[in-house]
Amino acid sequence: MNKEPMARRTAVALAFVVGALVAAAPACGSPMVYTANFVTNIKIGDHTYHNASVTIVFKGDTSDIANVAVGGTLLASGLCPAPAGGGVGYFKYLPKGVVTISARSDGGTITATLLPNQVFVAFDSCNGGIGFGSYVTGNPEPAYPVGFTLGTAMSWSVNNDLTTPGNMSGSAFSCIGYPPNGIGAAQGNNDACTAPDGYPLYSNVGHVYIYQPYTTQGHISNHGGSLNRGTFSIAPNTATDD
Amino acid sequence: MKTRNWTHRLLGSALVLGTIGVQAAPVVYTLQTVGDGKLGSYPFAEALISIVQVSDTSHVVATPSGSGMLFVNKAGYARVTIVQNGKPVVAKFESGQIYVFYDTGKGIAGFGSAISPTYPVALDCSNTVNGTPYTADCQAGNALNNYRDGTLSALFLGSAEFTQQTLALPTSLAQSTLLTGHAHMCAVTYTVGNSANTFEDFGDLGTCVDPAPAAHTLMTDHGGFFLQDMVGGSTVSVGPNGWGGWDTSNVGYLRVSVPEIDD
Repeated sequence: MNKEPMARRTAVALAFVVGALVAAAPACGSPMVYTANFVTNIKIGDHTYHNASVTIVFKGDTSDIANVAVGGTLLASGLCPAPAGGGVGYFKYLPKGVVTISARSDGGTITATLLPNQVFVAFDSCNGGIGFGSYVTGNPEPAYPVGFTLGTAMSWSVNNDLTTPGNMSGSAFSCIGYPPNGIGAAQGNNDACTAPDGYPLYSNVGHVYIYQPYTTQGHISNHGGSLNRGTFSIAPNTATDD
Repeated sequence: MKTRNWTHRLLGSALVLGTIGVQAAPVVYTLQTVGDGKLGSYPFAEALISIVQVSDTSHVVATPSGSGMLFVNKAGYARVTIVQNGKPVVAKFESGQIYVFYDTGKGIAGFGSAISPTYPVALDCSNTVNGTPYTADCQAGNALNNYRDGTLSALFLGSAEFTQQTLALPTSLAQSTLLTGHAHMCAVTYTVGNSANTFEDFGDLGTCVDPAPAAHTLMTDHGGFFLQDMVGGSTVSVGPNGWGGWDTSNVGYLRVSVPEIDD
């Protein structure tokens, strides 16, 4: 029951698997806060927090939202040719922003401010995925430190974009090598996610690693493989000090 | 290095009927999801919802439930935070309005009340009626139908298809753990006959029907509070393969946090 037949695997994020990323920004934007909440094991500096309440906050501007492009051509999913197919058909990202990762555990909270240009807001309006990606492997990783699919995160992503405020919930993947199952142009990652230990996020308080302990064993499917759940929010940034 | 005190470790393995928390330890239960309802005069739709109960493990009570146990903690105080458009509103529940529960015999967990033992929020309830009598929601867990959704299903099934770290999650409400699944937020029942397309999480329930929400209001210092799930399994189809139904419902997690103590 937990293994996805091929037909379902076709509904997987293909974003960020290839090529250069080219900005195609709208003319004007507005400051926005993107927030993910979930519970998992996290290491910050030399301390590991088990089942910590993790909050990742990305403060950026919608004017920096860009279509993912390869060689100057917008990367459209073959599954969702724009404008038909349930979405605009393009993969988007927001690469510029200030990112903090907070872990609350045992009544205390530690907050790490990431050094610039490591994390981006990832958005797959075709298949319905949203979250925070990074370049920890040198290549774009669309679901690490966290990506959400299924749940209302999936339906919201198909029907909206990164400029629309909203709250959603979904399956939380902290997966280097997403999608784990090969599909279409994505080769997959041998049905697994790569352990993050060799791929730190750099912060003002040391290296940050986010783990994914609660999954299926042996075969991590692109949708049902993670047992973790979380929420993702988009809200206007009304703070005066940002 | 912090390690768990040996007395806390014993709590998970030395269950007896009645109060199990012989050794007291502070505990915080936090449930987070997204949903619809009203707090005082403030209606909300698809808002971020966090319900927190602060208590002590000595107040966890266990009673048999099927092949498992029903754990309940009714002591302490609770609050709810509603966030819509980035703006939080925090309300404190009046005493005795809600309590945390985990029914390992059904594979469900959440917050119950005098209105319903699975209301305002329960995780990983069955989404399937399939012609059987249905007068109250969440009488069974989702995994009972052999479906999988989150750690609650995994712990109920206990099979080797899940990681050891998952199967080792404590199940007593007296130790730190993480319980996840799709969210039911309904005082009475959902609509029946939903035919939305699903691949992973099957079910024929739609959205929550509540003909008398005033009667299903929980009292807070910000006025009455109720939840009514207006999404449920009603999403018909999204994306190129048409995901819908309970695959695209709101989901949530219940975090049990017992501070680790230096030996």
